[in-house]
Amino acid sequence: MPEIQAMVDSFYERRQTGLIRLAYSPDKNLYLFLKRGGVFSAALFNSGLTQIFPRDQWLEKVHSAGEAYAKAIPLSPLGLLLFGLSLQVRDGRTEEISDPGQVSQYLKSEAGRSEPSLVYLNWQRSSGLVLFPEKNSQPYSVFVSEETVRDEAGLSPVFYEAWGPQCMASAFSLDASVDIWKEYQLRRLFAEICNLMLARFRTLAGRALVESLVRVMTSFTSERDLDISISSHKILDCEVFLSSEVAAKYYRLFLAEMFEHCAVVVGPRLLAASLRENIANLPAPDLDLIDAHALLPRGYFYD
Amino acid sequence: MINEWNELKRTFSSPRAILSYAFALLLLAGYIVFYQFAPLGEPFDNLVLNSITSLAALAVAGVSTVVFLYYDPEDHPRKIWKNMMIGAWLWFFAEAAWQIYAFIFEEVPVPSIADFGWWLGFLFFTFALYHQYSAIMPGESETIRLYAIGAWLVVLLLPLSLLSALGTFTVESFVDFYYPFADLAVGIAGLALVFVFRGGALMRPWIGLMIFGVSDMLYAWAEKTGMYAWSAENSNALTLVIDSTYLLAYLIFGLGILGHWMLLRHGLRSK
Repeated sequence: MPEIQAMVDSFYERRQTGLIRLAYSPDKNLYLFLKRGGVFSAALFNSGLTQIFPRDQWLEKVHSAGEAYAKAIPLSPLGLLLFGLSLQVRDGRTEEISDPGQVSQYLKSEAGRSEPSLVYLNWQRSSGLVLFPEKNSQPYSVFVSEETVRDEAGLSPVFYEAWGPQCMASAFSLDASVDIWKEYQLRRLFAEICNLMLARFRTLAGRALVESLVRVMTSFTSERDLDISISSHKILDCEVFLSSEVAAKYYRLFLAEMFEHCAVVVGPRLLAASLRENIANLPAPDLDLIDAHALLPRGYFYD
Repeated sequence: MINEWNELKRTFSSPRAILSYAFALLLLAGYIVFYQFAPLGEPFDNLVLNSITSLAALAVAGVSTVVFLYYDPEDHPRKIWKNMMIGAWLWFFAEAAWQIYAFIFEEVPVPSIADFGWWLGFLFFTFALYHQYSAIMPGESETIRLYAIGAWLVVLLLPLSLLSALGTFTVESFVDFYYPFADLAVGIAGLALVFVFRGGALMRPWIGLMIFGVSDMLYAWAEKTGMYAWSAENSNALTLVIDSTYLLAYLIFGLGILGHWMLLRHGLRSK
């Protein structure tokens, strides 16, 4: 237990994001999820079932679970989201890959799917996760072995190395009933709406006012301790949320603030028209998600 | 409207803005006093009155230049403001030329070099309007261009065909007829932009252009009906209203552009 507390303290001191994996047996793992140095959630994976519990219970769970092999894994927010996804996804297509050379073929075939999917590769002493967004978008991958942690945009070449004689590969398609998939979709949609509106605002108002908007929004995110940074061309969302509802709440607040400032310059009427024009081109599932979470501020989008 | 009201309140609270409003009010008050009481006698009253108008036009040209310089070369609004600036300077030169003519001849010949300045100014304001509409409707640039060309053809051909049909065509009468149509076209385009940007700060620069439409149409009507007085000493209430509205249009145009520059300079503010 003191070793685990030392790991948590080390994350805290560095304000690091990542997870601590406590392996009790091949079938039983406890994961502590840390955001900027603090444990914000924990999950127990036991014989194929995942149980998620609030952060105030993690100490109690660790105490009651017994001896474990612990590993601290610093990750990016998206890398952490991939781990969260891997614990919550269901009904995957699993197959065994006996030839290490076939891993690249397998990943290539998954990359060609039109729907987002998560691939989980498990060797004896290492594992990897690859998130394939929509077709033609760059994947995101995380690889963890005893010595190596790779967390990067794109498909890390480390996946093609021979990590063992056998690899169990599972692929999970997007499932809207799984909360963390919804969070991922909201994250993607939020970035898309912001980027579209930034481009529109830049055309109408020019760089100086976009930069002014960036300053105002930076102050907004820092006041709320949100790790979302905005530049004049794009948004970089490094925030980690507890659930899709919490994510939607903060995205809603962010967009309301952003639109209110844009409206001061271009007027609410034109802003609403531009928003509708941009949103109209989004696919139907995205529109449903916007509706379900009332993501866009009332008065600009909803009648 | 709450946004715009808050923004106006913010703008008004700035010392530089208060100075600008005070300067504008002073010009307007001075104009009305000279118009009503003609204290210096001819030709100096007219000289002062025309100088006030030229000064207002110079202020518009100056502040639009400052706005233009504020934008980066790759900024889309720079195209709008480049044309606004050129149009404003052409109108200032037209005002100055008109003032010189009026000082020398009392009644200004038509057409004169001043008319050429105003005509060319309209052309550049049309370019500015085209770029502004293209920014609002990026996919409709072709249609906007067609509307702009169509509006110019109407503005040029309608007076021509009307005068030809009546058998009264002269260059002078054509120029006199051209202004109300050009003003109407620019005024409508400006009004539409005010409506599009309703509640937003980008609406402000276009309000003045809209008022020019009203003012110049009143002038054209009064001039055609012989109700326009050409000197301060012969002035009447209607001429005072028309000429003051013309000055007011310049002042509102300038203040609108100044408000835009202040927004660019100070940026948006956190709540």
